[in-house]
Amino acid sequence: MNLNELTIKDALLGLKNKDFSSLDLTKSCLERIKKVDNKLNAFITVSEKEATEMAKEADDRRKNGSKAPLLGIPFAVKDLYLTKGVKTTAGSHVLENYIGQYDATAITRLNEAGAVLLGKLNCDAWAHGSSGENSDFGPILNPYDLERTPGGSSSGSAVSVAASESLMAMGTDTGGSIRLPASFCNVVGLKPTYGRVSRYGVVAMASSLDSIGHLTKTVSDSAIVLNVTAGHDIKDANTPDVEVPDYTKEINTGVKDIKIGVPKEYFTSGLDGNIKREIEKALNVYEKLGAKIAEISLPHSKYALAIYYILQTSEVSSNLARYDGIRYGKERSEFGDEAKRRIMLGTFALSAGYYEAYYIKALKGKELLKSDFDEVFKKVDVILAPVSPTLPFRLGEKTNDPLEMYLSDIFTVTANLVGIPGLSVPGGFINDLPLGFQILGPHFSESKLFRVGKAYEKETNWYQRKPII
Amino acid sequence: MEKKQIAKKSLTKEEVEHIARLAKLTLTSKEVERFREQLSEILGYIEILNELENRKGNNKDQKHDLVNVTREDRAETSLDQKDVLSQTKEKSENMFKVKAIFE
Repeated sequence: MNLNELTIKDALLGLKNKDFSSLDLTKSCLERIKKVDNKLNAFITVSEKEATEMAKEADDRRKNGSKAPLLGIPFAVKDLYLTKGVKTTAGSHVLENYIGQYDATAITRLNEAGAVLLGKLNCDAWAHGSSGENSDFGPILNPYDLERTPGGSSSGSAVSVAASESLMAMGTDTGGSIRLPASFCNVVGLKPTYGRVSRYGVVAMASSLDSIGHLTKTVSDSAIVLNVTAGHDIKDANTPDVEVPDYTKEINTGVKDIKIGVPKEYFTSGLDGNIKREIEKALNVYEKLGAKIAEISLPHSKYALAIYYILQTSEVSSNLARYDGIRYGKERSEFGDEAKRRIMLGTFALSAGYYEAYYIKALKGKELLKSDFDEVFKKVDVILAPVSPTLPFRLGEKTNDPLEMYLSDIFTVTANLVGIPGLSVPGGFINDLPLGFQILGPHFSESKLFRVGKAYEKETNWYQRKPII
Repeated sequence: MEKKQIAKKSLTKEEVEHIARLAKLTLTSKEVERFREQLSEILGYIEILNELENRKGNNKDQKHDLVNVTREDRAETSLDQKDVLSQTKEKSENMFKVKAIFE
Protein backbone atom coordinates (compact mmCIF):
# COMPACT_ATOMS: atom_id res chain seq x y z
CA MET A 1 0.00 0.00 0.00
CA ASN A 2 1.28 3.48 -0.81
CA LEU A 3 1.60 5.83 2.15
CA ASN A 4 -1.16 8.14 0.86
CA GLU A 5 -3.59 5.21 0.99
CA LEU A 6 -3.21 4.75 4.75
CA THR A 7 -5.86 5.65 7.26
CA ILE A 8 -4.97 8.26 9.89
CA LYS A 9 -4.91 5.52 12.54
CA ASP A 10 -2.42 3.39 10.59
CA ALA A 11 -0.35 6.39 9.55
CA LEU A 12 0.02 7.50 13.18
CA LEU A 13 1.17 3.99 14.07
CA GLY A 14 3.66 3.93 11.21
CA LEU A 15 5.03 7.34 12.17
CA LYS A 16 5.32 6.27 15.81
CA ASN A 17 7.18 3.10 14.81
CA LYS A 18 9.46 5.12 12.54
CA ASP A 19 8.39 3.04 9.49
CA PHE A 20 8.32 6.29 7.56
CA SER A 21 8.45 10.02 8.22
CA SER A 22 5.81 12.70 7.88
CA LEU A 23 7.87 14.03 4.99
CA ASP A 24 7.54 10.65 3.25
CA LEU A 25 3.81 10.60 3.94
CA THR A 26 3.28 14.18 2.77
CA LYS A 27 5.34 13.66 -0.38
CA SER A 28 3.26 10.59 -1.18
CA CYS A 29 0.08 12.70 -1.01
CA LEU A 30 1.60 15.52 -3.06
CA GLU A 31 2.67 13.03 -5.73
CA ARG A 32 -0.79 11.52 -5.81
CA ILE A 33 -2.31 14.98 -6.23
CA LYS A 34 0.05 15.69 -9.13
CA LYS A 35 -0.91 12.38 -10.71
CA VAL A 36 -4.70 12.45 -10.49
CA ASP A 37 -6.01 15.89 -9.61
CA ASN A 38 -6.05 17.18 -13.18
CA LYS A 39 -8.75 14.55 -13.77
CA LEU A 40 -10.66 15.29 -10.56
CA ASN A 41 -10.25 19.04 -9.96
CA ALA A 42 -10.54 18.57 -6.18
CA PHE A 43 -7.90 21.17 -5.34
CA ILE A 44 -7.92 24.92 -6.00
CA THR A 45 -4.61 25.56 -4.25
CA VAL A 46 -1.88 23.03 -3.49
CA SER A 47 0.56 24.52 -1.01
CA GLU A 48 3.46 22.20 -1.76
CA LYS A 49 6.21 24.34 -0.24
CA GLU A 50 4.29 25.04 2.97
CA ALA A 51 3.24 21.40 3.30
CA THR A 52 6.83 20.20 2.94
CA GLU A 53 7.94 22.68 5.62
CA MET A 54 5.14 21.65 7.97
CA ALA A 55 5.98 17.98 7.44
CA LYS A 56 9.63 18.57 8.35
CA GLU A 57 8.51 20.50 11.43
CA ALA A 58 6.24 17.65 12.44
CA ASP A 59 9.13 15.19 12.11
CA ASP A 60 11.26 17.47 14.32
CA ARG A 61 8.50 17.77 16.90
CA ARG A 62 8.18 13.99 16.95
CA LYS A 63 11.93 13.60 17.47
CA ASN A 64 11.63 15.95 20.44
CA GLY A 65 9.01 13.72 22.01
CA SER A 66 5.77 15.44 20.98
CA LYS A 67 2.65 13.30 21.28
CA ALA A 68 0.36 15.71 19.41
CA PRO A 69 -2.68 13.72 18.22
CA LEU A 70 -2.39 14.40 14.47
CA LEU A 71 1.35 14.92 14.30
CA GLY A 72 2.52 14.64 10.73
CA ILE A 73 -0.85 13.77 9.20
CA PRO A 74 -1.51 15.47 5.82
CA PHE A 75 -4.94 17.03 5.43
CA ALA A 76 -6.74 19.43 3.11
CA VAL A 77 -9.38 22.06 3.72
CA LYS A 78 -12.52 23.23 1.95
CA ASP A 79 -11.78 26.66 0.51
CA LEU A 80 -14.36 28.20 2.82
CA TYR A 81 -11.91 28.08 5.72
CA LEU A 82 -9.60 31.04 6.12
CA THR A 83 -5.96 29.98 6.13
CA LYS A 84 -3.49 32.73 6.93
CA GLY A 85 -1.17 33.49 4.05
CA VAL A 86 -2.85 30.96 1.80
CA LYS A 87 -5.34 31.85 -0.93
CA THR A 88 -8.94 31.40 0.21
CA THR A 89 -11.56 31.69 -2.53
CA ALA A 90 -14.80 30.20 -1.15
CA GLY A 91 -15.01 28.64 -4.64
CA SER A 92 -15.92 32.05 -6.07
CA HIS A 93 -14.45 34.53 -8.57
CA VAL A 94 -15.27 37.19 -5.99
CA LEU A 95 -12.41 35.99 -3.77
CA GLU A 96 -10.14 34.47 -6.41
CA ASN A 97 -7.22 36.68 -5.33
CA TYR A 98 -7.98 36.80 -1.63
CA ILE A 99 -5.21 35.68 0.73
CA GLY A 100 -6.45 34.60 4.15
CA GLN A 101 -5.76 37.18 6.84
CA TYR A 102 -6.02 34.83 9.81
CA ASP A 103 -6.57 31.14 10.49
CA ALA A 104 -9.96 29.65 11.31
CA THR A 105 -10.05 28.20 14.83
CA ALA A 106 -10.40 24.70 13.43
CA ILE A 107 -7.22 25.27 11.41
CA THR A 108 -5.35 26.62 14.44
CA ARG A 109 -6.33 23.53 16.43
CA LEU A 110 -5.30 21.18 13.63
CA ASN A 111 -1.96 22.99 13.29
CA GLU A 112 -1.34 22.70 17.03
CA ALA A 113 -2.16 19.01 16.78
CA GLY A 114 0.61 18.70 14.20
CA ALA A 115 -1.44 18.16 11.05
CA VAL A 116 0.15 19.13 7.71
CA LEU A 117 -1.88 21.34 5.35
CA LEU A 118 -1.71 20.13 1.73
CA GLY A 119 -3.94 22.77 0.20
CA LYS A 120 -7.42 24.21 -0.33
CA LEU A 121 -10.26 22.25 -1.79
CA ASN A 122 -12.69 23.09 -4.54
CA CYS A 123 -16.34 23.50 -3.62
CA ASP A 124 -19.59 25.05 -4.77
CA ALA A 125 -19.12 28.80 -4.56
CA TRP A 126 -20.05 30.04 -1.06
CA ALA A 127 -21.10 26.46 -0.28
CA HIS A 128 -24.22 27.01 -2.39
CA GLY A 129 -24.78 23.69 -4.03
CA SER A 130 -25.21 19.93 -3.80
CA SER A 131 -22.93 18.78 -6.61
CA GLY A 132 -19.78 20.90 -6.95
CA GLU A 133 -21.10 22.25 -10.24
CA ASN A 134 -21.53 25.77 -8.84
CA SER A 135 -17.81 26.24 -8.35
CA ASP A 136 -16.29 29.09 -10.33
CA PHE A 137 -13.18 26.92 -10.72
CA GLY A 138 -14.79 24.10 -12.68
CA PRO A 139 -16.79 21.15 -11.40
CA ILE A 140 -15.23 18.46 -9.27
CA LEU A 141 -15.57 14.93 -10.61
CA ASN A 142 -16.54 11.74 -8.82
CA PRO A 143 -13.49 9.43 -8.75
CA TYR A 144 -15.79 6.38 -9.00
CA ASP A 145 -17.27 7.70 -12.26
CA LEU A 146 -15.78 10.78 -13.85
CA GLU A 147 -19.07 11.61 -15.59
CA ARG A 148 -20.90 11.97 -12.32
CA THR A 149 -20.87 14.53 -9.57
CA PRO A 150 -19.27 13.78 -6.22
CA GLY A 151 -22.08 15.62 -4.43
CA GLY A 152 -21.60 18.98 -2.73
CA SER A 153 -20.89 21.45 -1.51
CA SER A 154 -17.81 19.87 0.17
CA SER A 155 -17.04 18.19 -3.14
CA GLY A 156 -13.26 18.53 -3.16
CA SER A 157 -13.17 17.39 0.47
CA ALA A 158 -14.91 14.09 -0.33
CA VAL A 159 -12.97 13.50 -3.53
CA SER A 160 -9.53 14.19 -2.04
CA VAL A 161 -10.11 11.57 0.65
CA ALA A 162 -11.77 9.04 -1.69
CA ALA A 163 -8.94 9.37 -4.21
CA SER A 164 -6.28 9.09 -1.49
CA GLU A 165 -4.92 12.56 -2.23
CA SER A 166 -5.32 13.43 1.45
CA LEU A 167 -5.83 11.45 4.66
CA MET A 168 -8.52 13.79 5.89
CA ALA A 169 -10.44 16.82 4.67
CA MET A 170 -12.33 19.54 6.47
CA GLY A 171 -15.75 20.49 5.12
CA THR A 172 -18.90 22.32 6.15
CA ASP A 173 -22.47 21.04 6.39
CA THR A 174 -25.33 23.54 6.34
CA GLY A 175 -27.96 21.37 4.67
CA GLY A 176 -26.04 18.18 3.95
CA SER A 177 -22.84 19.48 2.37
CA ILE A 178 -20.59 16.98 4.14
CA ARG A 179 -22.94 14.02 4.31
CA LEU A 180 -24.03 14.09 0.67
CA PRO A 181 -20.56 14.12 -0.92
CA ALA A 182 -19.38 11.55 1.66
CA SER A 183 -22.25 9.33 0.57
CA PHE A 184 -21.47 9.77 -3.14
CA CYS A 185 -17.74 9.11 -2.70
CA ASN A 186 -17.57 6.15 -0.32
CA VAL A 187 -16.08 8.07 2.60
CA VAL A 188 -17.14 8.85 6.15
CA GLY A 189 -18.59 12.32 6.67
CA LEU A 190 -19.36 13.86 10.04
CA LYS A 191 -21.73 16.74 10.60
CA PRO A 192 -21.15 17.48 14.30
CA THR A 193 -23.76 18.94 16.63
CA TYR A 194 -24.27 22.65 15.93
CA GLY A 195 -21.77 24.46 18.13
CA ARG A 196 -19.57 21.41 18.76
CA VAL A 197 -16.85 22.87 16.53
CA SER A 198 -16.09 26.57 16.27
CA ARG A 199 -17.25 28.41 13.13
CA TYR A 200 -14.74 31.21 13.64
CA GLY A 201 -12.81 31.93 10.48
CA VAL A 202 -15.06 29.91 8.19
CA VAL A 203 -16.97 31.87 5.57
CA ALA A 204 -20.49 32.06 6.98
CA MET A 205 -23.28 30.61 4.91
CA ALA A 206 -26.28 30.31 7.25
CA SER A 207 -25.02 31.10 10.71
CA SER A 208 -27.63 29.12 12.68
CA LEU A 209 -27.20 26.06 10.46
CA ASP A 210 -23.48 25.91 9.55
CA SER A 211 -21.70 22.92 11.02
CA ILE A 212 -17.92 22.52 10.90
CA GLY A 213 -17.06 18.91 10.16
CA HIS A 214 -14.77 16.59 8.29
CA LEU A 215 -14.42 13.65 5.92
CA THR A 216 -12.21 10.63 6.48
CA LYS A 217 -11.68 7.11 5.14
CA THR A 218 -12.93 5.40 8.29
CA VAL A 219 -15.09 5.98 11.34
CA SER A 220 -12.14 5.74 13.76
CA ASP A 221 -10.32 8.42 11.79
CA SER A 222 -13.36 10.67 12.11
CA ALA A 223 -13.32 10.31 15.90
CA ILE A 224 -9.60 11.09 16.04
CA VAL A 225 -10.18 14.35 14.17
CA LEU A 226 -13.18 15.43 16.24
CA ASN A 227 -11.06 15.07 19.39
CA VAL A 228 -8.92 17.88 17.96
CA THR A 229 -11.47 20.27 16.49
CA ALA A 230 -14.28 20.05 19.06
CA GLY A 231 -14.72 22.30 22.04
CA HIS A 232 -15.63 25.71 23.36
CA ASP A 233 -14.11 28.68 21.53
CA ILE A 234 -14.39 32.18 22.92
CA LYS A 235 -14.46 33.48 19.35
CA ASP A 236 -17.66 31.60 18.52
CA ALA A 237 -20.37 32.46 21.03
CA ASN A 238 -22.41 29.46 19.89
CA THR A 239 -19.91 26.90 21.15
CA PRO A 240 -21.21 25.91 24.60
CA ASP A 241 -18.85 24.78 27.31
CA VAL A 242 -19.77 21.13 26.84
CA GLU A 243 -17.04 18.65 27.68
CA VAL A 244 -15.15 17.02 24.80
CA PRO A 245 -14.91 13.31 25.61
CA ASP A 246 -12.37 11.02 23.97
CA TYR A 247 -14.48 10.15 20.95
CA THR A 248 -12.43 7.02 20.26
CA LYS A 249 -13.09 5.53 23.71
CA GLU A 250 -16.43 3.74 23.14
CA ILE A 251 -16.02 3.22 19.43
CA ASN A 252 -15.64 -0.56 19.54
CA THR A 253 -18.35 -1.30 22.08
CA GLY A 254 -20.78 -2.57 19.43
CA VAL A 255 -24.53 -2.08 19.05
CA LYS A 256 -26.06 -4.73 21.27
CA ASP A 257 -29.42 -3.43 22.48
CA ILE A 258 -28.94 -0.07 20.79
CA LYS A 259 -32.34 1.09 19.53
CA ILE A 260 -32.22 2.27 15.93
CA GLY A 261 -35.22 4.23 14.64
CA VAL A 262 -36.18 4.19 10.97
CA PRO A 263 -38.37 7.14 9.89
CA LYS A 264 -41.32 5.83 7.91
CA GLU A 265 -41.81 9.17 6.13
CA TYR A 266 -38.42 8.82 4.41
CA PHE A 267 -39.34 5.57 2.69
CA THR A 268 -42.05 6.82 0.39
CA SER A 269 -42.26 6.45 -3.39
CA GLY A 270 -39.84 9.35 -3.88
CA LEU A 271 -36.93 7.18 -2.72
CA ASP A 272 -35.01 5.19 -5.35
CA GLY A 273 -35.86 1.49 -4.92
CA ASN A 274 -32.19 0.54 -5.05
CA ILE A 275 -31.43 2.81 -2.12
CA LYS A 276 -34.37 1.44 -0.12
CA ARG A 277 -32.96 -2.08 -0.59
CA GLU A 278 -29.46 -1.00 0.51
CA ILE A 279 -30.86 0.58 3.68
CA GLU A 280 -32.79 -2.61 4.42
CA LYS A 281 -29.57 -4.61 4.00
CA ALA A 282 -27.81 -2.28 6.45
CA LEU A 283 -30.64 -2.73 8.95
CA ASN A 284 -30.27 -6.51 8.63
CA VAL A 285 -26.59 -6.18 9.48
CA TYR A 286 -27.47 -4.15 12.55
CA GLU A 287 -30.08 -6.65 13.66
CA LYS A 288 -27.56 -9.44 13.29
CA LEU A 289 -25.20 -7.45 15.50
CA GLY A 290 -27.80 -7.19 18.25
CA ALA A 291 -29.39 -3.81 17.65
CA LYS A 292 -33.13 -3.32 17.95
CA ILE A 293 -34.81 -1.76 14.91
CA ALA A 294 -38.02 0.24 15.35
CA GLU A 295 -40.17 2.16 12.91
CA ILE A 296 -40.58 5.76 14.05
CA SER A 297 -42.43 8.78 12.75
CA LEU A 298 -41.18 12.28 11.99
CA PRO A 299 -44.56 13.71 11.01
CA HIS A 300 -43.38 17.15 9.90
CA SER A 301 -40.69 15.79 7.56
CA LYS A 302 -42.44 16.94 4.41
CA TYR A 303 -42.06 20.59 5.46
CA ALA A 304 -38.34 20.39 6.21
CA LEU A 305 -36.99 21.34 2.80
CA ALA A 306 -39.29 24.36 2.43
CA ILE A 307 -38.45 25.52 5.97
CA TYR A 308 -34.77 25.07 5.19
CA TYR A 309 -34.82 27.03 1.94
CA ILE A 310 -36.47 29.98 3.62
CA LEU A 311 -34.30 30.07 6.75
CA GLN A 312 -31.04 29.25 4.96
CA THR A 313 -31.50 31.76 2.14
CA SER A 314 -32.62 34.43 4.64
CA GLU A 315 -29.41 33.98 6.58
CA VAL A 316 -27.35 33.78 3.37
CA SER A 317 -28.81 37.09 2.22
CA SER A 318 -27.92 38.63 5.56
CA ASN A 319 -24.39 37.26 5.66
CA LEU A 320 -23.57 38.14 2.07
CA ALA A 321 -25.08 41.61 2.57
CA ARG A 322 -22.00 42.18 4.75
CA TYR A 323 -19.77 41.60 1.73
CA ASP A 324 -18.78 45.04 0.51
CA GLY A 325 -15.98 44.35 -1.98
CA ILE A 326 -14.06 47.25 -0.42
CA ARG A 327 -11.97 45.66 2.33
CA TYR A 328 -11.02 42.69 0.15
CA GLY A 329 -12.16 40.83 -2.95
CA LYS A 330 -13.97 41.86 -6.11
CA GLU A 331 -17.28 43.64 -6.61
CA ARG A 332 -20.70 42.21 -5.77
CA SER A 333 -21.41 42.00 -9.50
CA GLU A 334 -19.03 39.01 -9.59
CA PHE A 335 -21.46 36.85 -7.58
CA GLY A 336 -22.54 33.81 -9.60
CA ASP A 337 -26.10 32.81 -10.43
CA GLU A 338 -26.70 30.53 -7.48
CA ALA A 339 -25.45 33.11 -5.00
CA LYS A 340 -27.69 35.73 -6.58
CA ARG A 341 -30.66 33.35 -6.48
CA ARG A 342 -30.23 32.57 -2.82
CA ILE A 343 -29.56 36.19 -1.86
CA MET A 344 -32.76 37.24 -3.63
CA LEU A 345 -34.88 34.45 -2.14
CA GLY A 346 -33.68 35.38 1.31
CA THR A 347 -34.12 39.10 0.77
CA PHE A 348 -37.68 38.43 -0.40
CA ALA A 349 -38.50 36.20 2.59
CA LEU A 350 -37.26 38.88 4.98
CA SER A 351 -38.79 41.86 3.21
CA ALA A 352 -41.66 43.99 4.49
CA GLY A 353 -44.99 42.43 3.66
CA TYR A 354 -43.58 38.92 3.38
CA TYR A 355 -41.56 38.48 6.56
CA GLU A 356 -44.48 37.07 8.57
CA ALA A 357 -45.71 34.74 5.84
CA TYR A 358 -42.30 33.30 5.04
CA TYR A 359 -39.58 33.80 7.62
CA ILE A 360 -41.67 33.72 10.80
CA LYS A 361 -43.67 30.78 9.50
CA ALA A 362 -40.47 28.87 8.73
CA LEU A 363 -39.15 29.59 12.24
CA LYS A 364 -42.32 28.15 13.75
CA GLY A 365 -42.06 25.16 11.44
CA LYS A 366 -38.53 24.57 12.71
CA GLU A 367 -39.89 24.25 16.27
CA LEU A 368 -42.31 21.59 15.07
CA LEU A 369 -39.43 19.63 13.52
CA LYS A 370 -37.55 19.89 16.81
CA SER A 371 -40.49 18.44 18.73
CA ASP A 372 -40.62 15.53 16.28
CA PHE A 373 -37.02 14.65 17.11
CA ASP A 374 -37.39 15.23 20.86
CA GLU A 375 -40.25 12.74 20.86
CA VAL A 376 -38.37 10.18 18.77
CA PHE A 377 -35.21 10.28 20.86
CA LYS A 378 -37.28 9.34 23.90
CA LYS A 379 -37.90 6.02 22.16
CA VAL A 380 -34.69 5.29 20.21
CA ASP A 381 -30.97 5.96 20.63
CA VAL A 382 -30.22 6.85 17.02
CA ILE A 383 -32.00 7.22 13.69
CA LEU A 384 -30.87 5.54 10.49
CA ALA A 385 -31.83 7.21 7.24
CA PRO A 386 -30.84 7.58 3.61
CA VAL A 387 -28.64 10.56 2.71
CA SER A 388 -29.63 11.07 -0.92
CA PRO A 389 -32.91 10.32 -2.69
CA THR A 390 -30.92 9.23 -5.77
CA LEU A 391 -27.66 7.61 -6.78
CA PRO A 392 -24.79 9.96 -7.68
CA PHE A 393 -26.20 11.86 -10.63
CA ARG A 394 -24.55 12.87 -13.87
CA LEU A 395 -22.86 16.21 -14.41
CA GLY A 396 -25.33 18.62 -15.94
CA GLU A 397 -28.34 16.50 -14.99
CA LYS A 398 -29.78 19.01 -12.51
CA THR A 399 -28.01 22.25 -13.40
CA ASN A 400 -30.90 23.67 -15.43
CA ASP A 401 -33.41 23.21 -12.65
CA PRO A 402 -32.46 24.83 -9.33
CA LEU A 403 -35.43 23.32 -7.52
CA GLU A 404 -34.47 19.84 -8.73
CA MET A 405 -30.99 20.40 -7.29
CA TYR A 406 -32.45 21.63 -3.98
CA LEU A 407 -34.42 18.36 -3.68
CA SER A 408 -31.10 16.51 -3.32
CA ASP A 409 -31.03 17.82 0.25
CA ILE A 410 -34.38 16.41 1.25
CA PHE A 411 -33.01 13.93 3.83
CA THR A 412 -30.15 16.00 5.12
CA VAL A 413 -31.54 19.46 5.94
CA THR A 414 -33.47 18.43 9.05
CA ALA A 415 -30.33 17.66 11.06
CA ASN A 416 -29.11 21.22 10.42
CA LEU A 417 -32.46 22.75 11.33
CA VAL A 418 -32.66 20.95 14.66
CA GLY A 419 -28.90 21.12 15.30
CA ILE A 420 -28.27 17.41 15.79
CA PRO A 421 -25.19 15.51 14.62
CA GLY A 422 -25.17 13.15 11.64
CA LEU A 423 -22.60 10.61 10.46
CA SER A 424 -22.66 9.47 6.84
CA VAL A 425 -21.00 6.08 6.38
CA PRO A 426 -20.33 4.04 3.22
CA GLY A 427 -23.25 1.69 2.67
CA GLY A 428 -22.17 -0.22 -0.38
CA PHE A 429 -22.30 0.06 -4.14
CA ILE A 430 -25.19 0.06 -6.60
CA ASN A 431 -24.21 -0.27 -10.28
CA ASP A 432 -20.63 0.36 -9.11
CA LEU A 433 -21.67 3.72 -7.63
CA PRO A 434 -21.13 4.35 -3.94
CA LEU A 435 -24.02 5.06 -1.65
CA GLY A 436 -23.96 5.92 2.02
CA PHE A 437 -26.53 6.13 4.78
CA GLN A 438 -26.63 8.44 7.75
CA ILE A 439 -26.87 7.91 11.48
CA LEU A 440 -28.48 10.76 13.43
CA GLY A 441 -28.47 11.21 17.18
CA PRO A 442 -29.41 13.69 19.90
CA HIS A 443 -27.27 16.78 20.51
CA PHE A 444 -23.69 15.92 21.49
CA SER A 445 -24.16 12.19 20.89
CA GLU A 446 -21.21 11.87 18.49
CA SER A 447 -19.66 9.06 20.56
CA LYS A 448 -22.77 6.99 19.98
CA LEU A 449 -22.81 7.76 16.25
CA PHE A 450 -19.21 6.62 15.92
CA ARG A 451 -19.99 3.43 17.83
CA VAL A 452 -22.94 2.62 15.58
CA GLY A 453 -21.05 3.52 12.40
CA LYS A 454 -17.98 1.51 13.40
CA ALA A 455 -20.02 -1.63 14.09
CA TYR A 456 -21.33 -1.60 10.52
CA GLU A 457 -17.95 -0.69 9.04
CA LYS A 458 -16.28 -3.67 10.75
CA GLU A 459 -18.80 -6.01 9.10
CA THR A 460 -18.59 -4.52 5.61
CA ASN A 461 -15.32 -2.61 5.09
CA TRP A 462 -16.68 -0.79 2.03
CA TYR A 463 -13.93 1.83 2.40
CA GLN A 464 -11.41 -0.69 1.13
CA ARG A 465 -12.93 -0.52 -2.35
CA LYS A 466 -10.88 2.28 -3.87
CA PRO A 467 -11.77 4.11 -7.08
CA ILE A 468 -9.80 3.31 -10.22
CA ILE A 469 -8.79 6.65 -11.68
CA MET B 1 -50.45 44.96 7.22
CA GLU B 2 -48.21 41.87 7.15
CA LYS B 3 -49.50 39.05 4.97
CA LYS B 4 -49.87 35.82 6.92
CA GLN B 5 -50.52 33.49 4.03
CA ILE B 6 -47.95 32.52 1.47
CA ALA B 7 -49.88 33.71 -1.56
CA LYS B 8 -49.87 31.74 -4.81
CA LYS B 9 -46.72 33.39 -5.82
CA SER B 10 -45.50 34.30 -9.22
CA LEU B 11 -43.10 37.18 -8.93
CA THR B 12 -43.46 40.13 -11.25
CA LYS B 13 -40.58 41.80 -13.06
CA GLU B 14 -40.96 44.81 -10.75
CA GLU B 15 -40.80 42.65 -7.64
CA VAL B 16 -37.57 41.02 -8.82
CA GLU B 17 -36.08 44.44 -9.55
CA HIS B 18 -37.15 45.64 -6.12
CA ILE B 19 -35.52 42.65 -4.43
CA ALA B 20 -32.34 43.17 -6.44
CA ARG B 21 -32.20 46.79 -5.29
CA LEU B 22 -32.70 45.77 -1.65
CA ALA B 23 -29.94 43.19 -2.04
CA LYS B 24 -27.57 45.55 -3.86
CA LEU B 25 -27.33 43.26 -6.87
CA THR B 26 -27.21 44.56 -10.42
CA LEU B 27 -29.18 42.40 -12.84
CA THR B 28 -29.51 42.57 -16.62
CA SER B 29 -33.03 42.39 -18.02
CA LYS B 30 -32.34 38.84 -19.19
CA GLU B 31 -31.27 37.93 -15.66
CA VAL B 32 -34.38 39.56 -14.20
CA GLU B 33 -36.58 37.35 -16.40
CA ARG B 34 -34.55 34.18 -15.76
CA PHE B 35 -34.54 34.69 -11.99
CA ARG B 36 -38.21 35.70 -12.03
CA GLU B 37 -39.10 32.29 -13.46
CA GLN B 38 -36.75 30.31 -11.21
CA LEU B 39 -37.63 32.12 -8.00
CA SER B 40 -41.35 31.79 -8.76
CA GLU B 41 -40.93 28.06 -9.17
CA ILE B 42 -39.07 27.74 -5.88
CA LEU B 43 -41.66 29.87 -4.09
CA GLY B 44 -44.30 27.57 -5.54
CA TYR B 45 -42.67 24.65 -3.76
CA ILE B 46 -42.51 26.60 -0.51
CA GLU B 47 -46.32 27.07 -0.53
CA ILE B 48 -46.53 23.70 1.23
CA LEU B 49 -45.87 25.64 4.43
CA ASN B 50 -49.40 27.05 4.23
CA GLU B 51 -50.48 23.73 5.70
CA LEU B 52 -48.82 24.87 8.93
CA GLU B 53 -51.07 27.95 9.05
CA ASN B 54 -52.77 27.36 12.36
CA ARG B 55 -50.03 25.56 14.26
CA LYS B 56 -48.71 27.12 17.37
CA GLY B 57 -45.00 27.22 17.81
CA ASN B 58 -42.79 29.26 20.03
CA ASN B 59 -39.77 30.98 18.57
CA LYS B 60 -37.45 30.10 21.38
CA ASP B 61 -34.23 28.64 20.10
CA GLN B 62 -32.92 26.80 23.10
CA LYS B 63 -30.36 24.45 21.64
CA HIS B 64 -27.84 24.93 24.41
CA ASP B 65 -29.52 27.39 26.80
CA LEU B 66 -26.89 29.89 25.73
CA VAL B 67 -28.07 33.35 26.67
CA ASN B 68 -26.11 36.59 26.30
CA VAL B 69 -22.65 35.09 26.05
CA THR B 70 -20.33 37.87 27.16
CA ARG B 71 -16.77 38.44 28.26
CA GLU B 72 -15.04 41.03 30.38
CA ASP B 73 -14.86 44.47 28.78
CA ARG B 74 -11.11 44.43 28.54
CA ALA B 75 -8.98 45.52 25.58
CA GLU B 76 -7.15 42.62 23.98
CA THR B 77 -4.89 42.31 20.97
CA SER B 78 -6.80 41.86 17.76
CA LEU B 79 -5.71 41.39 14.17
CA ASP B 80 -2.63 43.25 13.05
CA GLN B 81 -3.62 46.42 11.19
CA LYS B 82 -1.18 45.55 8.42
CA ASP B 83 -2.95 42.23 7.82
CA VAL B 84 -6.38 43.84 7.95
CA LEU B 85 -5.46 46.33 5.21
CA SER B 86 -3.42 43.87 3.16
CA GLN B 87 -6.16 42.72 0.79
CA THR B 88 -7.35 45.97 -0.76
CA LYS B 89 -6.10 48.89 -2.81
CA GLU B 90 -8.85 51.08 -1.38
CA LYS B 91 -6.89 52.45 1.53
CA SER B 92 -5.12 55.58 2.70
CA GLU B 93 -3.11 56.21 5.86
CA ASN B 94 -4.07 52.98 7.62
CA MET B 95 -7.75 53.39 6.84
CA PHE B 96 -10.15 51.89 4.36
CA LYS B 97 -11.35 54.33 1.71
CA VAL B 98 -15.09 54.25 1.10
CA LYS B 99 -17.61 56.30 -0.85
CA ALA B 100 -18.62 59.55 0.82
CA ILE B 101 -21.86 59.34 2.76
CA PHE B 102 -22.20 63.02 3.52
CA GLU B 103 -21.71 65.75 0.98
